[in-house]
Amino acid sequence: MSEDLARTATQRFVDIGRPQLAIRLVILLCPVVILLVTGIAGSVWAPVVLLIVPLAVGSAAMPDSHAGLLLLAVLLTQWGVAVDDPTTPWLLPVVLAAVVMHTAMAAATIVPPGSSWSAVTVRRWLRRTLVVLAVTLLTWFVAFGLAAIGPAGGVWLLVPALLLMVAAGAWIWTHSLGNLD
Amino acid sequence: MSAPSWRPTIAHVRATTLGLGLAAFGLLARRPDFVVLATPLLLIAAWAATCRPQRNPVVRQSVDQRSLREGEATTWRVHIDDAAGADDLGVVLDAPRYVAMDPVHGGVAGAVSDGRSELTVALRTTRWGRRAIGPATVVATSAWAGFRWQPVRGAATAINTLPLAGAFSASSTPASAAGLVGLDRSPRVGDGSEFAGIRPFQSGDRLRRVHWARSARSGVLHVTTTWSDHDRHIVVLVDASRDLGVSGGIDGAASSLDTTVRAAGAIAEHHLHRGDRVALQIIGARGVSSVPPATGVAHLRRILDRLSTIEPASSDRDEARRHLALPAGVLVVMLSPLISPLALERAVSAARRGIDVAVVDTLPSGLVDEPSDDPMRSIAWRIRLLERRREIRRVRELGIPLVVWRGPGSLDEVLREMHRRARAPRAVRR
Repeated sequence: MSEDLARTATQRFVDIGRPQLAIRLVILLCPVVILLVTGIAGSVWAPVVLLIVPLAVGSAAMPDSHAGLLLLAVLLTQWGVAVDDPTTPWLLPVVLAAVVMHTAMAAATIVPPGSSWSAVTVRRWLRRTLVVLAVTLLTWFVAFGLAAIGPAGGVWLLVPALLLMVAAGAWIWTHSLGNLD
Repeated sequence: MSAPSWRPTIAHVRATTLGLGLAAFGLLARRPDFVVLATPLLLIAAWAATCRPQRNPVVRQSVDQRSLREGEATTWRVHIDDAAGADDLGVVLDAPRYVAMDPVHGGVAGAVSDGRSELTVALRTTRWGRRAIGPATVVATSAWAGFRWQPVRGAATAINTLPLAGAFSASSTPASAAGLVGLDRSPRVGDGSEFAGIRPFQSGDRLRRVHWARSARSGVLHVTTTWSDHDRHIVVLVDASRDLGVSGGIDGAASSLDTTVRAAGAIAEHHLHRGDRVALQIIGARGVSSVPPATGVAHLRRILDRLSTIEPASSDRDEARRHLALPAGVLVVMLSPLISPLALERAVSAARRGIDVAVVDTLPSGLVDEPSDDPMRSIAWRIRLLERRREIRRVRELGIPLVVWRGPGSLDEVLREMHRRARAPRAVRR
């Protein structure tokens, strides 16, 4: 019985196809990158790895689940706790890995197991990811510049940033998440 | 039930929740690194929300051919129209046993351009029968996989796979003539087209038959004689009460019912192409009736259609009471694995009424000595085989020819023997 179950699980693993296996590997590697960079920029609290490993495996196995949300939340909380310098350049590989991980999980859900993405789809997703990463890089430069101004500059920017964030949240809510049922 | 609509995906929830959470924490805790971390996720969430499709697409599913021969392929198509805002389309088709798909798992994906897309899955049926395929599960997603649309699954499509008639030919002369039309030469001289000889004129001979050259030479009026054209009435009697052995489809091993159905199709095809009248009678099948005698290509299709619907019945009880309409002068070709004694009783009963019967054994050779893990089952099977051997001997003693199906020429020897016997005087039980 257990042999049959193991064979079925192996077969399911093989059945998802090489492109899907590759993207699942990417999903699995991104938390490793974030953890490594966090360790270099600060330190990693060892017990958190015990939480991250099953979440990473769960995210790779079931990209259309909330395991990815939990995993990113744990990883970025660990970053916040471990890294004191908010303008460190190590932030860039972390944000890159986070974006790649989210995008890979989203892309893994749009094709059935065993099939692969068309060339048009791959080009479309790569183009959009590059645009998002470019905007992120720009944001990092702005944040780096504001941090150089000092705490006063930061306070003046806090209120409009908060208002902008509330407005953005309200807009997304009304346009999409309002009908989750 | 409400119509399906575009729903936010887990990816969208993740981007929105994490993006807003990280941004809030970054601003409140004065951590610009968290604002940077939130930026791409918020951007993705806003992008996906902006590109949310407003209308439900129209999905159509179709199959190119609903009727195929074993081993033939067709294409399953899924069209999506009116899908403005949709980026990608994914389709998964579940196929029953004996239907091979390309791609193997039936899953295909493609990009949606200008609100439309078409995806295809190639299907190849490997065994005769009627099977329900589909409908495919269709999923459309919008930008960044932010929203997903999945229509309600409709009804399955029935695909009919006609048996691929095995190679068959018979060169022997017919056993009896029932009419005066057909392609075969009758053993009787009559009004036909094939030259038989020249003989002196007799009263009643037609003038157009006069052989003037011979008459002029001999000084006595001579006429040419011809063999009458022969119309055979064949009844293909299929015993579908058991399906023994494991069918591997057209590319693998054949079960007893595979051999029976393919042989029946081959015999019917052979005789119909020769202009004979062929009827089909099925015993032991669930809810399948017979096909009355007729000729022509359309009739072959009718017979193959009926053969493809065969499913073994669960019980022989009703079958024993069923009357088989076998008119005098027909040639009955019974195809059976000869495991049910009922089939042989039918053959014996028809032969005793003076009907020409040939029995074709379709039991797969590999099954005869197949060992079983269960010793009791093995003993039971051996006992049944011994009984079968005794029944076959009894049938042969009654003069009913019995051959094992071997494809082309399987029936030649049997038909020749029947032809010889047809010309000899015989006793019929009244």
